Amino acid sequence: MRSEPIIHAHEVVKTYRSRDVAVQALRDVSFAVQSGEMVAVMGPSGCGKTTLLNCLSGLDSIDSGDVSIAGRLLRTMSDDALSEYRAKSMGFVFQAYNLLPVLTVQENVELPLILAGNSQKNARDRATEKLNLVGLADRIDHLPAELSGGQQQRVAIARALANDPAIVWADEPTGNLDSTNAGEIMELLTRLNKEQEQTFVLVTHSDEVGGMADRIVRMSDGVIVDDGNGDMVESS
Amino acid sequence: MEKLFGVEMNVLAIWLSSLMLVIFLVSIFLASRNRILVKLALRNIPRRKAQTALIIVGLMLSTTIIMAALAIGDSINGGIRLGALYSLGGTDIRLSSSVSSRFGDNYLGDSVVDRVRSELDGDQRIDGIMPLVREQMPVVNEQSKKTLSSAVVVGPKLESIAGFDGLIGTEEEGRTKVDLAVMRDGETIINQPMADDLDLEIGDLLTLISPVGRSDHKVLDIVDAVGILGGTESTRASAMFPDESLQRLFGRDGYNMIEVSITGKEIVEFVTHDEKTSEDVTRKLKLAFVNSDASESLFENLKTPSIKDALEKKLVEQESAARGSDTDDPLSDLIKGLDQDSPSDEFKIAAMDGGTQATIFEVAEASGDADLTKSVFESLGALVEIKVDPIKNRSLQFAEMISSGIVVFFTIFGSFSIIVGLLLIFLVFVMLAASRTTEMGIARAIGTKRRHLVQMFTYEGLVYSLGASIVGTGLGILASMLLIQIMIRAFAESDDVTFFYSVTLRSIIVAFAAGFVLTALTVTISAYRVSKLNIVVAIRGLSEELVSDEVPSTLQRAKMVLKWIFGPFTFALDTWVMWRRGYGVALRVVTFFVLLLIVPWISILIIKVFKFFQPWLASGWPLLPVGLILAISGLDPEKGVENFAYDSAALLALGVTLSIVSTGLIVRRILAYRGFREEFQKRVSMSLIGLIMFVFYSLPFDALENLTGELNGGPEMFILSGVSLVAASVWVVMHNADVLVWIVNKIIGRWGSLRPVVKMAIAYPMSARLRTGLTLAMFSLVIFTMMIFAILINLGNVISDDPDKASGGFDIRGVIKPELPIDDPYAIIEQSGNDLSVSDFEVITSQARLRVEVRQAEADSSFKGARVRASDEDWLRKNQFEFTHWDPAYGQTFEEIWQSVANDPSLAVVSAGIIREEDGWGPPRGDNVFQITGIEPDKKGEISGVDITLRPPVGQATSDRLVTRKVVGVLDEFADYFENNQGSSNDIYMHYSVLEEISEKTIPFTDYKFRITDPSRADELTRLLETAFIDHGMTAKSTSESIEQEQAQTNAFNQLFQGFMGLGLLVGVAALGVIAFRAVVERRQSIGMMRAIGYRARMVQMQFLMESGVVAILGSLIGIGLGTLIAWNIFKNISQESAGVTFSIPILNVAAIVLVAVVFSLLNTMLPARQASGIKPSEALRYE
Ligand SMILES: Nc1ncnc2c1ncn2[C@@H]1O[C@H](COP(=O)(O)OP(=O)(O)OP(=O)(O)O)[C@@H](O)[C@H]1O
Ligand SMILES: [Mg+2]
Repeated sequence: MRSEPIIHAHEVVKTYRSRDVAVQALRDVSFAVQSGEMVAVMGPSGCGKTTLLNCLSGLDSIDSGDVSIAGRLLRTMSDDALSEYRAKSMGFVFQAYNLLPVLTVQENVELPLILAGNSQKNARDRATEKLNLVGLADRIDHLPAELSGGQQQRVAIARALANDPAIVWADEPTGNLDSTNAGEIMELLTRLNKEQEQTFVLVTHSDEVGGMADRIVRMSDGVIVDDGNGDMVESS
Repeated sequence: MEKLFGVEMNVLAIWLSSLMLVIFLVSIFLASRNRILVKLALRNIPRRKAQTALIIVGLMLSTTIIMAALAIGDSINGGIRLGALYSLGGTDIRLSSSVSSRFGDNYLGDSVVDRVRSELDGDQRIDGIMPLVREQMPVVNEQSKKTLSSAVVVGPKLESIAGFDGLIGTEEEGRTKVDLAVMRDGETIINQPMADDLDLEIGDLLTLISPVGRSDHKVLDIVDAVGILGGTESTRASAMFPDESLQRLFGRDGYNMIEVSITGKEIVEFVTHDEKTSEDVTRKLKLAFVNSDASESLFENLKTPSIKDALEKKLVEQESAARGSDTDDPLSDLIKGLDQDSPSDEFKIAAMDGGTQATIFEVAEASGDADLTKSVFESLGALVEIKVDPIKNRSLQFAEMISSGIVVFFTIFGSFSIIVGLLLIFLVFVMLAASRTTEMGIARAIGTKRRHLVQMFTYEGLVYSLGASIVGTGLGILASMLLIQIMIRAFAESDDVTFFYSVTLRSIIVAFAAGFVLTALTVTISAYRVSKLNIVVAIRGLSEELVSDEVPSTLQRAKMVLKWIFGPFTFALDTWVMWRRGYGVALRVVTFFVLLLIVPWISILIIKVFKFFQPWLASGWPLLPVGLILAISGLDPEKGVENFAYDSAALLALGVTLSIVSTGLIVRRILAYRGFREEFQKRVSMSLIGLIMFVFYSLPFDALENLTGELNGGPEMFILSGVSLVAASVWVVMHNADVLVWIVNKIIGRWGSLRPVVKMAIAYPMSARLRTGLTLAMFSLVIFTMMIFAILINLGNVISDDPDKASGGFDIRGVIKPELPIDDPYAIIEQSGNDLSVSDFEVITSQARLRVEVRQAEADSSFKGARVRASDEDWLRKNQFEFTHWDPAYGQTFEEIWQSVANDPSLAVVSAGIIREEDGWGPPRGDNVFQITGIEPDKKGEISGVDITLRPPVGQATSDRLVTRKVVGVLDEFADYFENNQGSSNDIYMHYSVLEEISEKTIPFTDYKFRITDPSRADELTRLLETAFIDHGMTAKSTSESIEQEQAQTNAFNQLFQGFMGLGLLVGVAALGVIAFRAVVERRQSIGMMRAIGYRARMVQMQFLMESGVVAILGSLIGIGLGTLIAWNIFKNISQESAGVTFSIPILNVAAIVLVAVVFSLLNTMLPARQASGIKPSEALRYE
């Protein structure tokens, strides 16, 4: 028997309604991630990967089903409690990077640290350390708009890792990187995953990246067609 | 209202609406040439309804303020006009005796009436000539025991009443004209105010008190207070009697007025007016009643070469003193007239002018020729046989003057708000552009021309402008209605003026067009500015808000200048070339013809020449000589270069500003040369510019007078310095914002949980400095103006703190009718009944007033007008007035001086006005005002007595009845404040024995002062005194009443004004709201991101509130500081003129203003902040 899963989704349904058309982005998705696992979610564009990430991490509400993280049911948690949990224990890398344009690289990375209550000096040190990890130590005083797409992506990764969160959600973290850089980043992530037992859920289109994960979950049209464990397929 | 800032409102309306029309036509023309642009431009308007509404709110406020100011002016004008028109009715011109009314010599006999009639006989313009008796007398209703100590009583010659019969029944009776022919002796018709005051009804008896005692008159009818029964503007209650009745009661023959009615257009019920005709008839009458012998003799005397030369010299003096104002001077008419063989009409008219007469007299006396002087004196005295006063014209001009004065005052203060409103428009456009940067960048990338972007923005902006001017005008009307309501309520109890809301179509047109033109211009400029974007910067979303153009090379710029020297011709050539290449040139052809109008050609050329030099100018140093030259040209001719001194504070300020900017830029150059970091260069040089500007504009207004001379500057200087001061401060703050950030961090950083909020709340404003700076400037300006005004209306005055200074320690002042003198006031009080007893009074004193002409012995000047206050010994001994100057030979204390004056009838003291020179503030005094020279108003203390000679005024007696006095003291300016037109008196106080010395006839005591034993009963005793002395027509007022009354009226005006200024506050608050709303839209994604990394909803909300709050608080601080500074400068200036003002900051009022400003700004941000905090992260992150 494995230990209790850190992320657990049960029959999650998510429907987007816009202008009379309803899009079922997730249909009865059940899914679990063990603590310290690195899971890759793959599937064709528009199949619901980003939606899955948003719903599991609590950024988005769901229509039915249950999601629990570290044993707590998301729908029983208040917005504030969720915010706090995100600040302390989660990191995000978004498909569109979403750096704050008015903050420098350094400040972007510092922000979650300050939010978690670190002192200014502490935050600075740790942010510099993370930026070193992603190879951007020489760009700390630039604004995001002054960086290339790939560089921005690496800042986003540094920011997601800044707090040493228990869970990192990454939507195409290497989508804009060349294979060398992508490889380096993935190595970093797997190392952190092994050494610090951080849980990673990442969405990718790249088989190479997927191959470095512990398991690959395949989605199609809002349904998990293969959860990479074999024994849990029946839930779909 | 007819004029605003000296420009005819009609002209203004025509100009503004044509300008508006031109803007419309041009944009419609351009739009029709490129419809797709219009489509693209306008698509956002209906689609984003909330945004459209927000923009219109941002754009409309300037219009609202203009409209409100104009409507307030209209209403005040309407109120005063109506008051004047009602009290005049049919009367356009009033003729009266040229003799003072003192002894009743002013009654005109039938022969004069006949002369007037024959002069105007057959004149089609005249529709009535009415002789009448008109006095103010006490009246009583013996039934109700109600009394009126001063009511207007009129006795028109009833047969002549045609043309004046604007007597109408009151509302209830259906407003019919009342038949007057039926009135007989013992009957009266009264007006509604009198009926109300005395509780009279038709059939009751009205008792009139006259020199022969009480007489009863049956009330025949009660009519509206209009026309003959309109009363005066300050005494509405009025009653009409047959002329014979009044003549008998007053013991007079004839009439004291002849009124002339002129045909014209009816402007209010039964009242007609025609300014031009009135003027013409006035002139005709003046000429008819000029004494030809006197004018002949005057003419001959003035023709004496030495006199003529002296007059010409005077004219030159006067003209140089009144440089710039183009009033046609009667003196110059007079001198021109002297070149002819006989006195011309122009000569006569000019010689009748009071100012000219004073000059003539002065010149005659200076000649040293005693015979000539005597002759001139006599002919001047006899020149005017009958005074002709175009009273309706004058009253309406007065209404116009007051109301346009108020509008100018409102507009000056309002112009700060208008400027803020225009800044807001600019800001709205900057934000609109910012939100579309990417879109615009892509549009440019795929080949849209910059011109097209400008056009698109302009079209969109014009539609907003139109909407905004419509809404703004409507809101302005609404706001002014509310404000006037305050006025109406404040004046509800006084029947002097009735205000009512009124607004003219013309004002609406002016406000609407002015609002539209201002908005449209700002929109166009903003559109041009924001379209100057750099494509790469735009697409990458770099946060620079305004990117400047690349500068073309010198050669290119020179080419442009060359090209535009030949303007239309090179343009035509280019067009031809383009046409040959197959381009569409219709627009260029039109432009060509426009260029041929020269003005556009020249202006483009000027712009190109400017552009040629611009890069060098921007580097700084060339601005220095330009600035210095400007500054020097602004100097006073005495201090500056001859023939290059325009005596203008605005020019000087502009020049100094340029020089300061230049110095800053040069410093920056030097720093750059020395290799300092760019950030450091910028901060040092920019802070330097800001700080020097700050110091320059915060100097007291006359601080540099020694250097510059006294400069001409009007309201534009107030606006210029206010705006510059605020701009300089904000400039310094924004260039040192990191210091501020550091402080905020230090303060708030203590609360750990707030740190991430503070971090973001600082990061955004700091990354958009233009926006933040503008908002800060706007908010500061608003608070700044409110602050100045709050302080100015709070300027305390010594009088309310220490009323004795103004009242001399007397609690009640009573004035009686000279025709009804008092023998023994104590006896009357004794007999008046049990309510009033002699023991209620500590002192009762009396004084008489008398117009005289005075000359200072040693200064050997001419006789000029002054007023003697002949006082009984009680008054002289017991008043508590204080002196600023005194002759120590007559006493060491104020009391001793007074005792000396009481003991020695040859001594006198004068009021403060007599030693004060006219300095251009306040109403002009006129030339015929007596002044003592040689006593420095500012050097208070001991003086040695000044000898003066007094004589009765011209026409009252022979001129050889001279009286001499020694002036041994000067009173402070508060003395008798309530009786003098706020300190501008020229009174001479002395022992009453002067009356017999100077006048053959007895002059009665008319002014009574009471000091009471129980000051708390002042108001009660005042009423009792009025009743007790009703047979003498006493109107009494207590000191406390006077103070209250004065305060009530200023308060009403202040409330009105503060309400108006509140509109400006609205702009400031709206600005913060608009910015917050835009910010939510712009930052959706970032908000999503922040929420994703763990910001709580409340933290996001707090961040927004904090951003607005910091601007609001910082703006308030700047505004309060600068406002206090300028208010202090203004106070300094005022207190030079009228001492006794005290400076204090109205803490409560200021706190209220700031509280309202900050709280409303926060409330206004609340909504967008809540919206922001409610954003769902997953949604926001997706949004692109
Ligand atoms: N807010 C929304 N409103 C309506 N439909 C939405 C919304 N968000 C997502 N969808 C739809 O839900 C489906 C799943 O979208 P999602 O972003 O999860 O796809 P994805 O798997 O991440 O695709 P990609 O690999 O292209 O990023 C899509 O069909 C999308 O159109
Ligand atoms: Mg996706």
